[in-house]
Amino acid sequence: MKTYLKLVHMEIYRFRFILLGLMALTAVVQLLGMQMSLTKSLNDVYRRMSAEGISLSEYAASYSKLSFGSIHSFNENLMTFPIMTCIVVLSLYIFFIWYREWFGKSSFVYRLLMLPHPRFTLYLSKFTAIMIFVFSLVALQVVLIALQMAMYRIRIPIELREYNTLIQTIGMWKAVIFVPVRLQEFFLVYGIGTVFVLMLFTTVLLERCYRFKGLIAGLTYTVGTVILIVWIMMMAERGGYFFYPSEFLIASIVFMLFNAALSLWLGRWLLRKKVTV
Amino acid sequence: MNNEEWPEAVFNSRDPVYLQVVRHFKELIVTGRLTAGQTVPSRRELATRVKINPNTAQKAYKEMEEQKLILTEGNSPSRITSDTATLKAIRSELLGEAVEAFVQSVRRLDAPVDELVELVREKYTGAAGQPDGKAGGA
Amino acid sequence: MIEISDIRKKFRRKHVLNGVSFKVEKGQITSLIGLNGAGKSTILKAIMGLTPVDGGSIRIAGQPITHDIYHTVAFIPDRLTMPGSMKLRDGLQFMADFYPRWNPERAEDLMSFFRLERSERIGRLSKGTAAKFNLVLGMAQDVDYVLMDEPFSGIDMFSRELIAEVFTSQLVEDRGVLITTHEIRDVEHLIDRAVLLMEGHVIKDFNCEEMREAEGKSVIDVMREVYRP
Repeated sequence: MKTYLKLVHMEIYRFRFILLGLMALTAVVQLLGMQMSLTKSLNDVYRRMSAEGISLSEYAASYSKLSFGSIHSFNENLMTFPIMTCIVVLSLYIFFIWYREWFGKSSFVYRLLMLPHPRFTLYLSKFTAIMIFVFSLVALQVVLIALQMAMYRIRIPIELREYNTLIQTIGMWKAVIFVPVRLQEFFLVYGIGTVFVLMLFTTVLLERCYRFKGLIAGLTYTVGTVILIVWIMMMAERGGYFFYPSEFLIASIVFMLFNAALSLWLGRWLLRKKVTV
Repeated sequence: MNNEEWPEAVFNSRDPVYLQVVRHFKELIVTGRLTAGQTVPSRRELATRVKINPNTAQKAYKEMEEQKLILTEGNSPSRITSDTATLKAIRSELLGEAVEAFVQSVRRLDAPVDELVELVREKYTGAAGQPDGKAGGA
Repeated sequence: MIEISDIRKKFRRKHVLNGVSFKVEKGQITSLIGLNGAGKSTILKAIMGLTPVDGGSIRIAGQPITHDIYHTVAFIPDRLTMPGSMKLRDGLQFMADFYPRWNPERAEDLMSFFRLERSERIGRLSKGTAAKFNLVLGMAQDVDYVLMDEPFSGIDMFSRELIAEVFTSQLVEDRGVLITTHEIRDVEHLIDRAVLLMEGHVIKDFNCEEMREAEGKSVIDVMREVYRP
């Protein structure tokens, strides 16, 4: 356990600059974007007020209020850009977290594979690190939305405000899939993500053990699984089949669990018996 | 002899290293740099000093014990023997070997013995005045 | 004892190891000798479980290879396998963190013996200095066996002398040491046993002192006989 925690710590430490960079990027872009949207929306309101010569309360009575959602989605692309950047960087790091040990001047993999502890610990620590990166970015996103709501309350006059809770606000956003508010959705989205990461880890190890053949096998397996899961989900969406949607859901969950177990077992076996430096 | 000034030992690669160490000791005894009854370094120290591995040092000490060159009593450090007969024997052994080598190389030249002896005397006394020019064996 | 019996390995259809067997005994320095590409490094990696073999078995004190062997065997590869961004200090800390058999006092002794500077970055070390630090990482573990891959290769003369001195110290005492080298002259007087590899086989396996005593041949003499056509 101590070894595992130390390894996780090391992985986080090694990624710290990139993680902090991503966080800074997300915070700066989203908060500035919100600021710009607020200014623009307010300017529109004031322009109309002076053009029509009406007061704020008259405006509020005759036009719709300025909802948080409408302002937030004003610069939708700007808001989503950092999220996409984070996703791309983390996806690449799923591979790089392994390959950096082999390539590069130091061949650190020698040392890591010779630690007097089960090698699977290494696998788990890298997996945990990736998950920690993901969830710290998700948590930051929630904090940022709360901050954006505070900005909304500060800048929008009370006559034009609409009240929403944080959960409602998050629910209204199109990028909601990254911050699912319902527990079931949360587990589904991150469950699939988790299994995907495990499968990619095992793909990397297959490549490290059997080179090109391993890579092809791993990718086929991963892509096949993803297609199958998406297909099951679509069947569940569409409905009208022999099975109930909830049965499709259970089927996909079982299938995912099976794949997770298979990836973990295979990864452990490869690290113990087949990996080569 | 102080251990810090242990003379450098140069070993050839065709004779067993442990025997070369024994010979090295014999030379040190004959030249008086190791004296009767003096303690010798531990095998660890010796290994580091003459740059051999500790196993070889161990083997050399075992050989020297068998040849009664050094004595080990109980747990105390080994000492050079004080037995004059053994010490004398070492001296004659080394001298004998050196003379044998000399004779073998000179015999080919077929020089008369008297001339040789005269030449040796001349060279030997002449060279005694100057410092030890050449380092030990090759 | 490390027992290597009949190990085989193929690389792209070429048999690199074709039934290699030999033993590494405790309290002896064994040198694995062979021309480039003879599979010396592969054998060391196989012993350390860093590359799988296609056949044969490797046992360390009777046990097969699992992660437990890293308590008993230390490997000093031909490169310093620590991230270049680490300082030497961090490298030592890493070892202390992960290796229960790490011996900090010995590490301390070796650091000063080699005159290494803790604040220096691993990525900036010269080749000779990196080799010395590599030796510290391996030698400061309290293990029964130490394997070294080419500890002298590409290093200046004075560093080589300093490294060779390690083999004359108590650091190798009572341990089984296996080294590969093609610069046999640096260690000729230091090794107890020589294992000569050719074409994936062990072609000669002898005790150096016995060879000198019985046949008056140096290790290099034997190598000439074996490798010269």
